[in-house]
Amino acid sequence: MPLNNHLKEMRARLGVNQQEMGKLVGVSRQTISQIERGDYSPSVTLALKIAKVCNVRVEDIFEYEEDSHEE
Amino acid sequence: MKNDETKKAVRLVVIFIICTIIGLIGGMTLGKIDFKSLLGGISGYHTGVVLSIMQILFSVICLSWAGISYAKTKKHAELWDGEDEDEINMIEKHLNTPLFLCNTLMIGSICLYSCACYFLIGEINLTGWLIVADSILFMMSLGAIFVIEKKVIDTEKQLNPEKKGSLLDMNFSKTWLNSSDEAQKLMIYQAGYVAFQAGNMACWLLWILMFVMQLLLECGVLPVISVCAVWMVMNLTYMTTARKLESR
Repeated sequence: MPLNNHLKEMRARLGVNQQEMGKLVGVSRQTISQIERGDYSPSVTLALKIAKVCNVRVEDIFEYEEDSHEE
Repeated sequence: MKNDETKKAVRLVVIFIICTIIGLIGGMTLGKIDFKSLLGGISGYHTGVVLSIMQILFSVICLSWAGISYAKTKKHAELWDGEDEDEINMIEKHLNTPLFLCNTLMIGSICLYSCACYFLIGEINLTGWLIVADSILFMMSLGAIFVIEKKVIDTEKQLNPEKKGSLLDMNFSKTWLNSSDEAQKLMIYQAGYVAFQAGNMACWLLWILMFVMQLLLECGVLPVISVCAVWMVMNLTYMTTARKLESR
């Protein structure tokens, strides 16, 4: 998935672990872990929730990287 | 685009012709073998005893493995400091092992028990005690599977407090799914689709096998009907659910 994210850095800035971050945005610890690893691209709603909790714009956490195979 | 589709269609026809030729040659070869006299030499009593022993061994191996695996993972979970995220991911991954073993054992036990009963019941004078012992063992296996699965679910709930549901509840699957978030639901749906595809492939292969068996062993039409019934339920459920979701 060509979606990079800085969730781990944002979480460290907030000083919370994955479990606490999950609680803040209403998802499980595993989902936060999957997003951080790049294994899961969150829905728009979840991305907005994460951005709101971190007090930044969605683009500051998630950035779309053009796939080199895409024309 | 059209050329590509023609190529695919030609490939499909070639595969179909090759499979038909293989089936024809295989069928003609198998038709020459006298299966009835070959299988007639094995008594129902001995087959039943072998199947019962297989059931015992299968249960002992799977239950011991699942129990040890669960105990080790549970201990690991208790020692987790609540911070190391790679460690908890590993613990969650290891919790799948006992569940996988329990599911495999449950289906395997049901199959072996049914087959053993079929052979043993034919010689009830000799095998009455064995059928009773086999039935008790079968029930005990199912009980042990339930206990291990319940323990795994409880541990999973301790690690993820947002998870809801109890194995004692009849609506467990629904409650568990409702307490899962979007990523977990996606994972469950993806796994379900892969299982559906595997089920379709298994039905094709089983139908071929059962069709050949009914001609060679005269085992009746029930095996073919059973396979087709499962196949039809799977596909009708899939199609009706997809149609409902599309029109939402």
